Amino acid sequence: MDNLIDKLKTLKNKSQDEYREVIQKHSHKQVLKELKEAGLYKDDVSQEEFDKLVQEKIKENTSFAKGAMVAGGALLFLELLG
Amino acid sequence: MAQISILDALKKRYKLWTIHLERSTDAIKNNILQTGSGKDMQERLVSFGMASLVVYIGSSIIGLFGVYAGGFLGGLVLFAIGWSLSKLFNKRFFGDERKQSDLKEDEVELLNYLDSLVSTHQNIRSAVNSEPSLIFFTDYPNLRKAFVGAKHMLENYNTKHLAYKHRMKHFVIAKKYASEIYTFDAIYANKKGGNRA
Repeated sequence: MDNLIDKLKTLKNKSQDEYREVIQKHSHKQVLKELKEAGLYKDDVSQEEFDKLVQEKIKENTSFAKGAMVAGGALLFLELLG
Repeated sequence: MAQISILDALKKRYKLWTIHLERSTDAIKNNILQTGSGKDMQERLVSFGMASLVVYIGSSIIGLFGVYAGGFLGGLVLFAIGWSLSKLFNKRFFGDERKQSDLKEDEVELLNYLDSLVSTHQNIRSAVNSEPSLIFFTDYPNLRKAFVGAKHMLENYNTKHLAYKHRMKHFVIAKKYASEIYTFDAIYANKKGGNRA
């Protein structure tokens, strides 16, 4: 998670979509790691199930990142609100 | 051959299910520890909104008595009062992050129990992955019983330990956790039910 925060902090004056893209990529990687740890490949799960796993992770990461960034004084991250 | 393929599919469903179990357990743990509380944007907005409201209402009431209340200093004092009140409200409603050492005995017991269940299933998963010919579906009654125990503990958990927001959230995530038990049943019984087929 710290890795994600560090990545987000390096983004300055970026658009909301660019923040979202970083979070999405990070979440995608985390889900692939979870599957690997469970002894599964991406093809072992349906696309629907994979998307659901990624969406859950994005929601969790976005919520965490908002808190961490605001606490760290990165007010530009307010853009992500909503 | 058909049986091997069914078992293979069941093992994949089981492994996928372990990911959901880990996530559900983490959600319960984070909620009990009130992770993220005190940093949330919602809380800051509530503080700001409440402080602004106190300035508005306060200056209106003072104005009713014919006293000039539009000064910068007066506004600042009212804002500070509103901000302090909002902090008290936020503490009750959103709470603060809790440390492991601050948890009550029943909470430590609950979290340890949930962790032990995750470890049990991670061990089964490792065994399934490392020894493909072995099927570890024989401990079902004990594993089922362990989940019933977890469900019971979650239902009886004293949510008064938590701030209001986390009390409400507990019911939602405990329900989600319980749904993972039905999925587990469905996998072991090779039924199509549960959260995921």
